Amino acid sequence: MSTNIPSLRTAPQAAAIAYGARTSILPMAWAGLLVYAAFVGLWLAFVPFSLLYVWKEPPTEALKITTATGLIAILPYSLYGAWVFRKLLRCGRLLTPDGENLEEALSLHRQFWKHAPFLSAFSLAVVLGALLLAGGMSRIPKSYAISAEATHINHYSLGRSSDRA
Amino acid sequence: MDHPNSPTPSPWAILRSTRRAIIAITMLLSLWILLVLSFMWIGAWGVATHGRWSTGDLCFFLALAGFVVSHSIVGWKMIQLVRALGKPGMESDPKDAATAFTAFWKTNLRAHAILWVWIVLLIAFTTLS
Repeated sequence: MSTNIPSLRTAPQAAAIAYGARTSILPMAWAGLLVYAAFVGLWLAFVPFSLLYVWKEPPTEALKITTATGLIAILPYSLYGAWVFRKLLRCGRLLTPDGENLEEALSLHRQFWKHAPFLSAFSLAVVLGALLLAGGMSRIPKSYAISAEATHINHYSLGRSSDRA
Repeated sequence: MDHPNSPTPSPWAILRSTRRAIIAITMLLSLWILLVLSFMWIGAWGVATHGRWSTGDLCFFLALAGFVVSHSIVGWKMIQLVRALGKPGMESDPKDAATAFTAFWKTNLRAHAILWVWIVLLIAFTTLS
């Protein structure tokens, strides 16, 4: 084989250098996969818990918003995240010192990066949504208290468990 | 290894085509850093005007600072990777791109590992104190 073609001379060395990323890619991929799998697990636990709470307590506006957000946003977000990090895991596993599967590994790496901006934007939306939700929920007891004081409504009729203690 | 004139793209051509997505995620990363920095400023302003710094406030502030520092380093490595992928003739001499690729992933892992150790230590310190 002629070594006058630069890619034939340097590509095996480059493949060996790229193999050095395997030990960093695999822990990152496993961590991401486990985090999103934990989100799926939390979602699965959240559904029966929220149904049980609704059954025991009258649903408040805050609970309705939280449940709706959880049901609509969290599950697809978590499944998407796990799917994206699975691509990175497969990429890491395919990296070898001889660069035998480098094409497939870098193709999966490309797919991971193609989806990563959407996942990051989705995360940003979830964080901002959670912050807005938390801000809105923190105002609910205050508005209830004001309306109860103004209209002489008993707190028990508003279904707030914290006031019953 | 593929010959440069082969119809199927070489692995390095595939890596090069990742460049735009890496630029997009770098821009999103800077948005995250700006968001966290604004939280830090709002938090610091709130504490400064309405009360004193508690241990919890300080630890939360330091955790956010850790996020900003670690992600800034990761962002810098991303920019280096983007620059290496954009060099002319990268596909024929991919050593620099491969080095930047490995350096990015190593730094990414180290930065996240240090950040999480830092956050766990801060939580432990806040809980114990």
